[in-house]
Amino acid sequence: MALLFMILPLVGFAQHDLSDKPLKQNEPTAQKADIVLGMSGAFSGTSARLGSALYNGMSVYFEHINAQGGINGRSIRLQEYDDGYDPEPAIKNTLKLIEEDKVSALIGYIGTPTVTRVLPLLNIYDNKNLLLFFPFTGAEPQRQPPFSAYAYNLRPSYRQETRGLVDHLVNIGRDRIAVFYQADAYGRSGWDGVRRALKEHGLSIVGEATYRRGTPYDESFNQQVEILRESTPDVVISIGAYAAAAGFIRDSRNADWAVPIANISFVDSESLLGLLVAESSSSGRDYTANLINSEVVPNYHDDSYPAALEYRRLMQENDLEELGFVSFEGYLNAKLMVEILRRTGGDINRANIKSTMNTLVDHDIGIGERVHFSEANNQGLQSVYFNTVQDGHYVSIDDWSGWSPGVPPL
Amino acid sequence: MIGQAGVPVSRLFKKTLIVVVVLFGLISTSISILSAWSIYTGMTQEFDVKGHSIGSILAEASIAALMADNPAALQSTIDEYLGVEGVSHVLIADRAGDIVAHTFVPGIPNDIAQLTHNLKLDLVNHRAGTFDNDIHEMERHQNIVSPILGGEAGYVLVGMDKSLIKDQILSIILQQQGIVLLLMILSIIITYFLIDKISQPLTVLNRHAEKLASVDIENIDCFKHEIARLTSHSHDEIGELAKSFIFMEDALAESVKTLASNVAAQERINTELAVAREIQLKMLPDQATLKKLHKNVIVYAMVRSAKEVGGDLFDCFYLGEHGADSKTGEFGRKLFFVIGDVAGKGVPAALFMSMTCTLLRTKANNYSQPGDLLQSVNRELCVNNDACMFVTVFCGVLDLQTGKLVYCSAGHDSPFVLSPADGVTNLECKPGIALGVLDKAVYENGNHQLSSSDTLFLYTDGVTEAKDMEGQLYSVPRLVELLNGQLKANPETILKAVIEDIDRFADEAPQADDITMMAIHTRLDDKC
Repeated sequence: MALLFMILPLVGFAQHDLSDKPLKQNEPTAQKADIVLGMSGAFSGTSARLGSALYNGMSVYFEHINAQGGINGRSIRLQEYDDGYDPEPAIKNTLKLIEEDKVSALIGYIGTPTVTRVLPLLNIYDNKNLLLFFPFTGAEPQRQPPFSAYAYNLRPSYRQETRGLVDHLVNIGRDRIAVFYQADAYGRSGWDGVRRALKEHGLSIVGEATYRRGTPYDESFNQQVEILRESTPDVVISIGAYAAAAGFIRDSRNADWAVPIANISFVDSESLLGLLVAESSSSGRDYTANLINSEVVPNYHDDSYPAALEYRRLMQENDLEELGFVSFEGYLNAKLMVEILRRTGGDINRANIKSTMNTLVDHDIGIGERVHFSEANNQGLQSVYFNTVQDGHYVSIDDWSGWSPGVPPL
Repeated sequence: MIGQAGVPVSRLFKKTLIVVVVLFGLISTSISILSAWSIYTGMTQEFDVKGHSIGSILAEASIAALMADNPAALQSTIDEYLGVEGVSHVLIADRAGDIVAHTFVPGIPNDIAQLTHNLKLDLVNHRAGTFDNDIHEMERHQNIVSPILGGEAGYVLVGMDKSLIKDQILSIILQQQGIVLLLMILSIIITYFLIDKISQPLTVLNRHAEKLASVDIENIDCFKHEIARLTSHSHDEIGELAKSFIFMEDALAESVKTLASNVAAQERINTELAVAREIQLKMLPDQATLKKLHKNVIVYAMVRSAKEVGGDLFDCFYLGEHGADSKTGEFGRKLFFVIGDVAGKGVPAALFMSMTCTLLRTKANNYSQPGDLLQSVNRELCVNNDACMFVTVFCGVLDLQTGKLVYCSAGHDSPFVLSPADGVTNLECKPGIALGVLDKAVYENGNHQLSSSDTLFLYTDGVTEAKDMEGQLYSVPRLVELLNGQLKANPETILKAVIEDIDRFADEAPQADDITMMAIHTRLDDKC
């Protein structure tokens, strides 16, 4: 299964030989120094696929740009390190990227607990003018002062995702909402998002259960199922990583609990689906029913989006068959990063970035919704997309009425 | 485990082993109790301090995030403290008492939920200051509640895992027990070798003592050698004991040597005494000599000696010069006979007896009257008799033609006359003083006319004083009674009958004194 997600190494060197393919070496053609971007993410542990997918999505686009001559003749090099979705290694990796690799910017960090711990470092390294671009998390710390000054987000926040979910669910009458969440800052962000959204409807969370970060799929989640089931919710919103989220879905269904379970974008929908499909085929029970997934990028199979077409083409050109929302988000991150590099001439610092970012108003990255940054807004996209699984694939939920409590489950 | 040292090691070691085990048990128990107590109090105190510190720090650090209503930031902050040893959970509640961040998995336990519910009521009802670093003890946890901004912004609850204290106590006690056990095993091994070392010399001494009984005392020096080194090697009680052993063996060897030489001397004396006894017996006439006397007389004598050389004597012979008939000059008419008993036993008695025998034999022919003879012999015996020896004697001269008997007694039992016509009669005579007592003693003669076929029975007190098993004496009446049955018997038959009767009487009782008997049967000459 690990081979499903392969890393396409960029120019220079790659730290992780996760690919079974020969490295595609592109020697720098220009005399000018590379633009080095640093990434720390989960390339091992229970969220390893997340790191690979995001990395692949970014690297196919940087590769594409490098092949066209880079930015003003400078190649883009993505230096990545593994933190296993743990805060401590994430801090060490960041220090290494800053001190040793002398990166121009940080990009594609993964996870709330990791990012929230790295942000204060950027504060400390204020004089280095380092910025964190497009972290793969919807948490608030990098969206709000004081750390909003050190980060730019592309994806919508968890609050937006959870609000979207809560609003739709409450509207169709599913107002008893319970939360299954990871016992850390990520889980708390999602929990907080649900709480806030419910509060606007005059509601509160009816039940909650947690799991420890890094809990593998094989572990039992019966306790959590039991705790949540006691509160008799209409729906469970799951703020988890794919392994635990899939485990929780498995144990819920095994307990004959068909309650709709909604996941948010961080879950890595393809990885989640992969585990559930495998479980379905081995046990004969359908674990993919009654699932709702919120996404922060549109469906990459939708040909009406030029970005989706280009993403699929680049992935195909690089023999990366496993497409997904995460790698598509990586591709979009890279695409916007390249645009920023172009606009700044490759020289990124906090002095010039603000003005550059402020020029990114109504910028089209090929997904319909246009990117918009402003002085007060460090998040480019605002739209949240909702999908469900049909016949082993994610399809958009266009009509929520089918999810009303009275309607029999799909 | 006890090894070659055998019984002494085994017992010593067992005793020591019990002492060691009990001692170590006491040490280990007291150390464990002390450690458990000090660890418990120390760690409880440490947990208090730690919980308070973390609570206070978190209360301070949470203010901004609480104000900004940013639970993710709060969660991020409290997650950092979950790694601190002893911290089992952290919880933050906002000013309304609602939990906005916590670390529980899979959910908030009931007891904590109850606690937070009560705290929420406190907050709502009393507001600030109602709790200031409260400690809520639960079965497994110690919950320290720290107010944020005096409770106005909420509170932090830090849970310390008390089971860690128990685990720590258990782990340290196990380590201690392990060390004590190791030390105990080490001590037992050392004790074993030490006791073995101490007991080895003891075992040597023990074996030495056992072998002592069978060792040749002549080779005692070689034998001593095996413990001699202990005296030089062990300068302690063992060495002293070995010295005592050697001293004892030397003394033993010396006394055994003395004993051996004494035994040898005794044996030599015994041999000489046996020779002396033989010589003594040879001085008395044997049966063959007595038989030669037979003419008008039949003489039979018997001596049964007690163990040592004794002093009984008898003799019987025809008188020579004076024994010859004055008219016919016929030799062998007068028969001299004597029986005696020297007082005492042993060599002096034997010598005195020899002297008496010799004097009687040599002087008998010189005196026609037995009284004169005894008077003469008495004088001789009294000369230089510093040892105050004396001898009782009965002697007589029998005229074989007439049956006239002249006799004299020097303190001896008078003989019996066995007459077929008159039965047994005691020969009347004046007792007289034993020879060797008084040099001027005078001995009177007695006269008796024997009939033909009369038998004169002489004896020493060994006959009448023979003892049975109960110490009863054979006695004169019993002798007389026996003799009454033997009136017509010849002398040999009489004596054998008496000795058989004595044997029956004495049974297994040892013979205390010489038994001497002599019987003279007369067959008077028809010519008389």
